[in-house]
Amino acid sequence: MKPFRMALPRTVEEAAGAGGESFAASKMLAGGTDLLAELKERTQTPDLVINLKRVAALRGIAESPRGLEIGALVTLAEAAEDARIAERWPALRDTILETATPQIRNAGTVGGNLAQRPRCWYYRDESYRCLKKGGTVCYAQEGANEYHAIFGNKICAAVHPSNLAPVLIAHGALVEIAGSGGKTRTIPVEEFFVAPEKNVAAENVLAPQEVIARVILPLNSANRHAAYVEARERLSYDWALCGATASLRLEAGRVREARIVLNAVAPVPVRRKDLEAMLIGAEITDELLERVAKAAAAGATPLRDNGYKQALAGALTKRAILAARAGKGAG
Amino acid sequence: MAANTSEIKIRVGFGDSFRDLTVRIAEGDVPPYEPGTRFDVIGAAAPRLDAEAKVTGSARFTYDQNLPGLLHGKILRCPHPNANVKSVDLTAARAMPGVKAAISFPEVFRTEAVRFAWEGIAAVAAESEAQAEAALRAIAVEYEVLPFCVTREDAMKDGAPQVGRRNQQNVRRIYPEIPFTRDGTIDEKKEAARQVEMREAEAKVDRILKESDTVVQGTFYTQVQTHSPLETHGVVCTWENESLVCYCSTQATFAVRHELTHHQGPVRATNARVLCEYVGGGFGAKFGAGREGVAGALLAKAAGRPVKVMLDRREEHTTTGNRPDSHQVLAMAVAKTGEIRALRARSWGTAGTSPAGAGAHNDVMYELGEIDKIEYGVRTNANDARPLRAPGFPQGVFALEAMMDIAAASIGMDPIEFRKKNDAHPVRRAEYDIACERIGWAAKRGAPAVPRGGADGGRGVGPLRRGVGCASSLWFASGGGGAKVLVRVHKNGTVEVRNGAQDIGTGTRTILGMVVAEELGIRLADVATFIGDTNDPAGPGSGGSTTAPTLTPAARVAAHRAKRQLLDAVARAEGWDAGNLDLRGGKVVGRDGAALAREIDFRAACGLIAEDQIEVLGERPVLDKDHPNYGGLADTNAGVQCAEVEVDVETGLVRVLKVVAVADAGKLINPKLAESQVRGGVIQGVSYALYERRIMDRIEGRMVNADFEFYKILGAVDCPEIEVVLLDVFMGHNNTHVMGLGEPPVVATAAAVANAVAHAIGVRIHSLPITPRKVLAALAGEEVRG
Ligand SMILES: Cc1cc2nc3c(=O)[nH]c(=O)nc-3n(C[C@H](O)[C@H](O)[C@H](O)COP(=O)(O)OP(=O)(O)OC[C@H]3O[C@@H](n4cnc5c(N)ncnc54)[C@H](O)[C@@H]3O)c2cc1C
Ligand code: SF4
Repeated sequence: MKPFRMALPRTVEEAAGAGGESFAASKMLAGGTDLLAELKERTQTPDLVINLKRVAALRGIAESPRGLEIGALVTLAEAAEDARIAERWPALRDTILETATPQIRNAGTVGGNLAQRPRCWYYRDESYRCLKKGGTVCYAQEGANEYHAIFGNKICAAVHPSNLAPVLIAHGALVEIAGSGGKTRTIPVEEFFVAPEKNVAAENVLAPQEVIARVILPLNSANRHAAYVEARERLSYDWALCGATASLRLEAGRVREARIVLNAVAPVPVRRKDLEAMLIGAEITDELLERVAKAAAAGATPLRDNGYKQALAGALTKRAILAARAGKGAG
Repeated sequence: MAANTSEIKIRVGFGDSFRDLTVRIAEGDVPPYEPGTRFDVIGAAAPRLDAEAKVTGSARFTYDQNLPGLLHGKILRCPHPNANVKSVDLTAARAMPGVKAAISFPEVFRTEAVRFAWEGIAAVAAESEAQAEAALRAIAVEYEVLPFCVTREDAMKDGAPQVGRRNQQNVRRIYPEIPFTRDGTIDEKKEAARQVEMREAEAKVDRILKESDTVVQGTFYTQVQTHSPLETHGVVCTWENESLVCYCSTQATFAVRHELTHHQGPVRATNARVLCEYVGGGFGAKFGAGREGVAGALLAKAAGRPVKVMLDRREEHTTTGNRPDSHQVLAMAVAKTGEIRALRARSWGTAGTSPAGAGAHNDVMYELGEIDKIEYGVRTNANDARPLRAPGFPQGVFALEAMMDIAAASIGMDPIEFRKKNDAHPVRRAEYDIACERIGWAAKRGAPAVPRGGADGGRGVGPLRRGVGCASSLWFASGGGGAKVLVRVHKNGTVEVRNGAQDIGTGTRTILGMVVAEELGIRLADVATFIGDTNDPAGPGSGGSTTAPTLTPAARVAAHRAKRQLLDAVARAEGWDAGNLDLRGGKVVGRDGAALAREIDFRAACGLIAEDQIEVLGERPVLDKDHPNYGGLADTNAGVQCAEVEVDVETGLVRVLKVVAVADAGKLINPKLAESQVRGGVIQGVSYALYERRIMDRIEGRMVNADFEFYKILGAVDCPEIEVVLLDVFMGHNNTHVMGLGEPPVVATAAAVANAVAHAIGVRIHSLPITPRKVLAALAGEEVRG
């Protein structure tokens, strides 16, 4: 670990300003379940670590006219235990309970989950200076790529690891970002993530001095027929090989609105408007499900060892739709 | 030279079937326990003596030794898989804050060659870990970087980079062994004769394969597995003049001592005391001090302060050994009636930079008829193998047991019937029936594969398919010589048992106490057992499952002689005949166990000892060096496991629902500890079957999953229900009838799981671990090799 200074701001403004002129050499610290591993491995070597733990405004879950507002410092465990989430956004609770281990859920936060860095083993190993770390090659293209992306993998094939992101996107959730000088902006979670084509060094739009303040679940996304399912190699904690979220509004047996999001198959969570279009206006029949499942792998460009994820994308999309339909939903 | 021996008659057997056997036992030995003996301590499911210490965290492992003035040692490692070190400059590192000592590995170990990535190059000791780490970054190393190959396939290609130096070939035959002369060249004459034998075996098996009713073939792959003990390798060293005290996480205290005091070794301590009261897992990787241990000793000496060197997880995965991988091609000839006529086996495995130890035992257990087997070791620029729980067996048995199922299917025979037909082992024959019954073999094997919806007896629901599979095991360990156990019976009635060997979690400490308590007619709680200190009498390394069968007979001899001395003292004082006395239930009793005219309890008896204590150093009785043990019921112990699995054919996920493990290991000193060994073996076996594997990056030649994130180990949720059935066998071989049980339970598990998966989904996966990727490929009619 490279020695660093630590700042302990008390307000969001202080946090966003803490880096001052040299903010490029600073890192935000929430639960630390991800950042500490990076510091130890020296894949991040900030001079300044801005510890957010005293920023009270980033805590707590509250309802407002905008929706259910979840503070960035809310831990995964707190979110999973929240009665409003369990009651009205159960798919979010389900995906959190699939995430990591109880210990990590007790420390890891919602903001940190969205801003966490990829688990690509080349990225995580100091000895490989890959494209994402300013090097010239993506080792995953020719190297060990069994867990890597099958979509959008031409430049960097790391998959986005967040379990929360796909479900938030499927619910049309927003993320509020605070910048320096008290400026904030609120954008759809969907637009929070950026593909390697735009910026291979980062996975999201955050500037170094920016702080995720909260995530907002719009009230109209409550009580949807929604579900998250994933496949993995091991049932005790493991990363998803592929995950699928379906959020549906059903009316008289027909799909009126649909969102389908796949995760762990691309550098960003993938919203599948093509699959959504197949569902909207239709009745969910076995035949339709088969067609949707087949189409789920459309556009995939698998690498040598990850072709199996195409089959998973299909199977899980089908399962997510079935689970969503079977789940509680007010229409 | 055979020691003086005498002939006695013993009884061997199990269940309700026993027979007499005439054997010769060594002078000073006691006859083995007799079936029907009423035991007071042995056979009781006593909790391990250190259970509380381990559960509460009061047990002090090597990692926990924080001596006053402790420095932290760290090792600089080479990122190149194949290189020669041109120079190591420690000047800048030595000048870094807090640094107290620095050493260069090419100097210490006298080699410039680095043949796998993350091999050590230099080490420093500093006041803090951070200072040590910073100092490592200040070391300047110049390398000559060489081309490399890190996988078996790559190393076998034409024109592959050479892993070894000088004339070492990448691929070398390891079975039948190449005869070498003393100077390391091939003994051409002997080799020519061996070639003739090999050709003859090949021709013979060719003929049988040609003439046989049925021939089945299969190609199998297994992965490299690392030991992954929870406690990594490492030492805490401190010197008192020329005398070294070394706390070491080891499974061979005396071997470590030997290494550190060897007159040609790098440390050459005049005297060394190795201490290891607790080990956080060894699994075969911890038989020596290792380079990290040597570094700890030398840094401590140079700094004049205690030094701790404990490896981190990446170092553990990449530099402390592993189970070699395998590529096995088998063919088997079977008669319609079910007898196996012949087996052909060709296999290749990589044990890292040396070809030795890469074998897969795929020709064991069954009556296999004529055998034609050739094995090759393949050098790669990857960390060298070390024995890993039943070396060579899980991989060989995975292939062999798959062949057994394939062969049985080819002649339309039930897999277990087929095994019984070709298996002569008296214990294993009984174990098949127990395993079958407990897993519900007949009903589950016969149920239709395709789901018929709901619980109508089909083997699946929706995308889920269930299946059952079986596999067997064997092991060889009845212990050997070289061990001594000290028993002291003090005048105040306390009893002390000492042996310097370690307890790697098998319960050595507890069973030593139990054997002594049984012999002295007292309770386990009345005996204090001391282990893990080389200042105490010599004990074995915990390898080959030999610790219990080596130590328990020595403990029994020592306790027996201490008892006779104690009874002599009682007889003298009371004017009785010592020959008529025994100890039982904490009292002096008659030979037949009857109460005596005057009751003398154990403590009172001890009060009659003339000196301060009785002290007996009991040596492990052996017949001769090469054949330490006498005959018995069978040469090997057995074992049968049945697994039930559930496979999701859409996601490829395999869950092991249940494993029935029927096991035997001679006489069970403590069934609770024995059961715990079996459970541990099954857990490690399921983990090997489904999750664990080393993944090498072929671009730069390093392991990419040297962690516990992508090197996946079975977790609690993945653990099947495990039903252990133990047979108590009066095996013979030694005076406690004990055979080893550390390794055998891991032999069959992966094979049983793989056979169950094949039953569940109707296609066989020829490669471990069985990941979703491989299941999906197999269902799609493809195959993932390696
Ligand atoms: C063993 C293991 C298994 C895991 N499995 C899963 C899994 O299956 N699914 C899954 O989704 N996740 C998984 N995770 C990741 C885990 O969910 C994240 O590590 C956690 O949510 C991160 O939260 P944190 O508060 O600890 O973040 P930190 O480690 O503190 O920060 C993570 C990153 O986010 C940035 N950051 C944090 N908070 C903010 C903020 N408010 N504003 C701006 N930037 C911020 C930090 O600078 C840092 O780069 C796993 C992690 C581990 C260690
Ligand atoms: S996938 Fe991305 S993170 Fe991984 S090696 Fe390639 S560029 Fe680096």
